[in-house]
Amino acid sequence: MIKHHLNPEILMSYAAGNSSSSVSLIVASHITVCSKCRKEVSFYEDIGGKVLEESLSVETKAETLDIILSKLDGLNSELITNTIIENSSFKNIPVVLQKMLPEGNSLTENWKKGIGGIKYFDIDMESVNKDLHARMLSIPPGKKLPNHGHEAQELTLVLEGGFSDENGNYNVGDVAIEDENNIHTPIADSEEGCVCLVVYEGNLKFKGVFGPILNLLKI
Amino acid sequence: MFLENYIETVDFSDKLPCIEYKQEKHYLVLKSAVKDKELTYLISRVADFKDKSAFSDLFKLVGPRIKGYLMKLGSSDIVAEDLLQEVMLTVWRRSETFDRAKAAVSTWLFTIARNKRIDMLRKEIRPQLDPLDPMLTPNQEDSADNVYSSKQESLKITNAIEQLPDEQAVLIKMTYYEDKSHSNIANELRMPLGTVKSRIRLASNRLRKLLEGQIYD
Repeated sequence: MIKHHLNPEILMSYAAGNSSSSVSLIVASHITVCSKCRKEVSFYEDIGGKVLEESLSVETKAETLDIILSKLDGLNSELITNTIIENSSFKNIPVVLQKMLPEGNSLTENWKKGIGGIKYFDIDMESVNKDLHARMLSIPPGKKLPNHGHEAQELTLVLEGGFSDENGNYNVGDVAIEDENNIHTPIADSEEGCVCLVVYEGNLKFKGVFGPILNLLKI
Repeated sequence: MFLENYIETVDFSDKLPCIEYKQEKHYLVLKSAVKDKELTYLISRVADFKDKSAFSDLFKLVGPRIKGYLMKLGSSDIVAEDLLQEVMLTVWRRSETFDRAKAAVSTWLFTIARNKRIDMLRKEIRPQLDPLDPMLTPNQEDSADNVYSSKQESLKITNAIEQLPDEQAVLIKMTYYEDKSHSNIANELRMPLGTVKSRIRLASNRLRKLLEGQIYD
């Protein structure tokens, strides 16, 4: 049962099409497993539909329809193909996120090794904006992080295991939203550890839940 | 809405005997639900029979509106034309996946136009929910979940936004009409980012009450 959700302003921004690629990744991953937030995104997309409907019509060029019609022949249908997960190590990862990760015999096989048994993988968002960061983290069971605060928004989605901090327990599907001035002491789940996706926009430093680890790993 | 500029010149009555038309002033106006049914019918013709005539009708109904939307969000006439072509080609290719039970036609077209605009203008990937992901949790059991048309088409979004306090309305307009991120809005209005977010949150709650609370108005 998901207890920690994304907030309305993040979901609206995603639906309107103006969230960054890294935030879009975490929203798309979360709403795969969270029907509540998925429904909310649908509502904001309905608003977008109304905006479209109520836009002023602008006459198209006389030849536009003919150009489009001339391109239809030979155009295949784009059926959304049913996604089959062949790699069992990806079983807990939403498809949208799987596509961004390296294949391996285990989820973290081809991830980089950091200090304290931590593994990480930086996702290439192919964005021209280099201030966007998306990183997968695998943290060993019981790992405790020092107190820390942060300056900008960082989002953390739990994919396996979980962690706890002053705000409660975060389990699979939960999202931690770290805004300015929060102080946290997160501890990874004592049995399973924690696999999570962290996205951060701004300067070079991660300052959220797992910020200290992210910074030590040198992005 | 989609139809009002077009219905003067085309008579669908022979194709769609089920739909009632109402004479009003100098042109025919279709009720919201009927309009959606009309567009759904045309999309189903494209999906089932690759019917180019239905596709052409669909283009005439929605094309100018999509172009207007793209230009409102800042595209030039030339770019909007290019994007419109891309949108309509995607409509042709994806017509079989359109599911009226899941979304209104306008919502479906909006998401296609939104994604094409991001693809072309930002040249960056936009991760999207895979609707066939085996991990997808079932939708919440809410009988109202799949009923989009009647309750939500009763109030225009422009009217709903007008009913928001000015300080909230401006943020919703910048989000949907100007494609501005929260930090862009904060910079432009010289407002703390936290204030932008909290006002958008208040506005989203109010919009939900306004749009979903209105039933058969």
